[in-house]
Formats: sequence, structure tokens, C-alpha cells
Amino acid sequence: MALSAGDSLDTDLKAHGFSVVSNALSVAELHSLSADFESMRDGSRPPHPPRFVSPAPRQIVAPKLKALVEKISSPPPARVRSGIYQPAEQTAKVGWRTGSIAFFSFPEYLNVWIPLPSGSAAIATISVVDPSVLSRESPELAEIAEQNGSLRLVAGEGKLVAYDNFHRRYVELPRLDLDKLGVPLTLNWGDALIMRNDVLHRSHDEGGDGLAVSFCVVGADTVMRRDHLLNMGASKFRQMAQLRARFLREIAVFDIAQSDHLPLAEYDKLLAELIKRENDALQRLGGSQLDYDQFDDLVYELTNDLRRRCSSERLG
Amino acid sequence: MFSPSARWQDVQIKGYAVVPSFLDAPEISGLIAAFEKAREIPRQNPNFMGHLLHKNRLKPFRNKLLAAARAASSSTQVYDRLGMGIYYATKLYLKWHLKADCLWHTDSTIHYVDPNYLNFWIPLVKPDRQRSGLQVVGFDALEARHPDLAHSLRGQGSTRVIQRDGSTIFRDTARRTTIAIADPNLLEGLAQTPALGPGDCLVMRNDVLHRTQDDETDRVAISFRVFGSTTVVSRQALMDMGSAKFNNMARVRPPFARRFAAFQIAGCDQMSNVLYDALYEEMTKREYNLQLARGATELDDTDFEQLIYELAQEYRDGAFRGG
Repeated sequence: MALSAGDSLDTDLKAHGFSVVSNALSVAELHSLSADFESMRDGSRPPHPPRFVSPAPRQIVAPKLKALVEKISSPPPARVRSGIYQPAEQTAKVGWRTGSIAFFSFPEYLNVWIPLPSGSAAIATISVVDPSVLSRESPELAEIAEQNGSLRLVAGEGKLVAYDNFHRRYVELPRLDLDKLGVPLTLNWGDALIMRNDVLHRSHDEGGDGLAVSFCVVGADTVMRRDHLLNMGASKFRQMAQLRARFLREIAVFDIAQSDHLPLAEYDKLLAELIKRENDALQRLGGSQLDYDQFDDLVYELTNDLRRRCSSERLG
Repeated sequence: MFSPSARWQDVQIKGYAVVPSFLDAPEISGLIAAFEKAREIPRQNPNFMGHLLHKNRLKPFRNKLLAAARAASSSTQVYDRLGMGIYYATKLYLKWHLKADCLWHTDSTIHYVDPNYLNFWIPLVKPDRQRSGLQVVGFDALEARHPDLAHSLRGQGSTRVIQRDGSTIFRDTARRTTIAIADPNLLEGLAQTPALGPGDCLVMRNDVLHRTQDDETDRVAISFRVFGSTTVVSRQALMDMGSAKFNNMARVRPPFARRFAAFQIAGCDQMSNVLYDALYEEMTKREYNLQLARGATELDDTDFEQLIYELAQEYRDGAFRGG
């Protein structure tokens, strides 16, 4: 399933849910990303532990990834969101799963997973389960996993338990050896795995010191929905609260627009405006983040500004 | 002492009542001593200025508070569960919290958990009866001036009040509504400031707008919260939020993660607040024990999810149903 960027990713993704692209990034790009992660880990700039979210990956490789993914989704063009670093010590423990934090915001996206040279690993390994194989071997699990980017699977005594975070339920299934069903992939440095957000996968190097960066790529025709963002159970709330500043802004955009549905372009525009105003306010007021009242004041002001702008446009 | 002559009906009419000498001198000194002890415990979240009275120390006040709460209950809303005691001290306020408390508001964090309760606010240290108390706006006064606004605020909570462009703005962070009244000094004109000394009690419903009068004197108060036992809490109400509610909940992340977990443990979307609290307490205890076992200050996602699943199985098998 290894392809070069010129081949038909579209067909491969449709048939299997994933595809590997050889030589997607250059050595220099990989090293820039590793260095960015290390600067977060050693504390030389404010990190977001335990979530290593950074704008740098997008700045470094977004155009390249965008061009790559556009081959599958053009038109309309795709958008690359911020990257999240995934140190193996965190991800290997999680085991078989779908999706990532990106699913909290986007019901559908492509996960671009790129291993980075770090630590002692010479190559990177990851396993994925082809959804068509899963449908054949465990229709019940396939049904739970379909369009569900918030699933974690834990083997219990004689059973497999699906922690379905999106539907906030635990589903006990007959025992199933996912390691047998999975396709083990070996990626060379610079290769990228592209998979749908509902494809089951697990990284291998438990106890290892490997590192990867994961990007969420969404279609530009995506409609952002408040009910999707705020449909949560304990784990989702906990993870969103750990990334409070990010999700606070994402929720605030719906407040400002006074709408429960927003086209991605409009959503991004409001988000950018909010971030700009927030930065302006921080410069004016000092401090590293706005307090509760200051942030709510900002939301109130932006809501009014938007309303006034819409009224004057209607009148004009 | 519990005062049979206090105007308890005012809690229904105005939303608040004053009960002189509710606590006696030994009770006051005991609570001050407990406060000094509570201050020594480092707070997990430095943004949250409240120091909680240890649950075991609530017991001596239980009968007195529940008798008063019963007297203040109505036919439709009975308050019969003593929940917690929180200390508020003017000299311990963090800068932004003081700013927030000195603005008109109704309390948020507790409202998100249980939207019906009485607040027994009792100064323990208060050098001046006329200063550093609480200012309140009675529903009788609000109703007379702005009946629609009073109707909208009655029974609610988590409201932030700001003054902008010649108006008073009411922002309900739970319902995500905003009401503007074209009068910047609306509440100042309606406010009452009960003169209170140590041991006097201002009892008010959770929907009464209030604010800290000032921080000019060194005042320490305790606030007991008494809930009802018939309230049904829902996942939808907890989950229904805008940015302000999320911000508030995310600041004090672990308790709210456990509140969400309670619904997963019980496998339902609605439950009595008695069961809700029982599941919350159990989750808190287990999480704490697991943290100790792991030598961590917080569980990772995997352990946290595993714990919820285990508790859900125990619940399914009949554990801790009674609450």
C-alpha cells in the first residue's frame, strides 16, 4: 500500500481507509519538527503537557501536506490544522484506538501520521485495521467504529471492551485478536501514513522512546457544529479542559456567531479575529492569559461587533 | 440558635432573610480554628480561593442548618441536604477573584452541579457590622422595577452582570442568554446591605444577585450550602455550555470530570442528585487512591477511563446504589 505522492491515494483510501506515502517530508523538515518538540519537552518554551500541541508543524510542512491531500479531496481544497506531537511513552499505552483530539472538533478528517527521528528507534512501526476486514471479522465492532473517532479498545477476560467516548458508553464484545487483523506497517523517515479518522490503529514501540507528529486535515467544505464539539463525556471534558485555551476559543466562536453551525471558512475567520483581539488585550492588560471576566468581556464585545457589522451590511 | 421568629417567608418573597445570632460564640471560634487549619492545606487549584470545611466538621451544624432550611422551604422546593461549607476571606482573595466577587453575580460552579440550594452566609470575623459584608438584590424590589427581568432570573444562577454603554447586562452562563437593561445603575438602586456581625446569618436562594461589599476589613465568612433531595440532574444540563461555563468548569477540571463520569458509571442521562453525589464521592475516593498508588498528581487518560469502566461494572452489579 505504499504510494508515491503522484499515485492515486483516493482509490487506496476508499478501499482500505489508509495509505502510506513515501518520502512525504525531507530530512530537514523532519529535524525541524523534532527540534520543535524537544523545545516543548525541555520547557524552554511554554508546553501544553500532557498534550504537545504546537503551531510549528503546520508552519513547517502545511503547504506540502495540503498539496498531498488535495490529490484526494480536490475540489474543494483541504485545510491542515495544528500538529500534535505523540511521544511513544504516551501513545503506546493507549493500544488500539481511532481518532484523536481533532475528532472533538471535526466529525470527519484525515489523520496524517509522520514518525520523527528521535530517541533510539531506527524505524517506526504502526498497525492499522482495514475497515473492510473489520466488517468481515467483527461487524459489531465495525459498526461502532464507523465514523467514530473517539474509540479505545481494551482486552478483558474473554472479551474486548470498546470504550466509546463519543457515545459515552462501554460495549463488551466477543474476544477479538486485533493484532492478527491489523496490518503492520514499517515507515521510513519521511514517510507519512494517511488514514481516515475512524480507522483502528496502534503504535508498536511500547516502552520505546519514539516520536511522531499527527496532523488533522479537513475538507474546506466542513461545517463546524456546536453539538459535535460539546457532545462530551468525562474523558472528552477532561482532555478539552487540559487544552482549555484552545477549546475555550473554539466554543467562543459559536457564542460570538450566535449560531450552532458555521462553515469552516467563517469559523476560521472568527477564530482568527478572537485570537487577535485576545493578543491585543493581553498586550494592553499584561499577563499570559485573560482571566475569566476579561475573556467573557471579549466574547461579549465581539458578539456585538459582529451583530453591528451584519446589521450595517444588511442596510448597506 | 435557630430562630423561629425569623422572617423565613422572606426567602420565598425576597429570596433572602437575615437571622441574627445564628451561630453562638463556641461555634464561631470552632469554625475559625478549622479555617486556620484548612488554610494550611495547599490548594490544588490556585485560581479557586475557597477553602472547604472538612466534611466531618459539618456534622455539629447539621441539625441547626436543616431546621432553618426546612423553615425556609416552600411547598414546591424543599431544602433538606447539607452539602458543604466554604470559607470566604477578604484578605485571601486573589486579585481577579476579588474583582469578580465585587461585581454583581449569582454563583456559577455549584449551580452547574445542582441548581437549587440555599446559601447560609455567616461572617465569623467581622470588625465592622457596616463593612465587608454582602450586598443583595431582593426579588421583591426587582419585580417591582423590572418584572420581566425578575421572571427571567428567578430560579436561575451563574449570572454575570456587567455595565456597558449605559446599560446593565445580565449574562447567564448556563443558558447562554444575555439581557440588557438601559440603566447602568439599576442594581445599585435596588441593593440592600444587611448589617451583620459575627454569627449573624444571611440566608439566600441561589438565584439572588449579590456581591462582596468591599475588602477593606479583614473579614472571614463561612457559607453553608443546603440542597434539596428531590432534584433530578441531567447530563444534558451539565453538557449544555458556552465558553464562559466551559472556562469556569475547566478551571476546576477534576471535579467536573468526575461529574461527567457519574453519568457514565450509572449508564443513564438523568439521576437524582443524591445518587449523583454518591457516585461523585466514590469516584473521588478511587481516583485519589489510584493516584497515590501510581505516585502521580493526576491519572493519565487510560487509567482514568479504566477507572470509570470498573465503577460502571460495579454499579451494574449493584454497588453504591443507595447514595
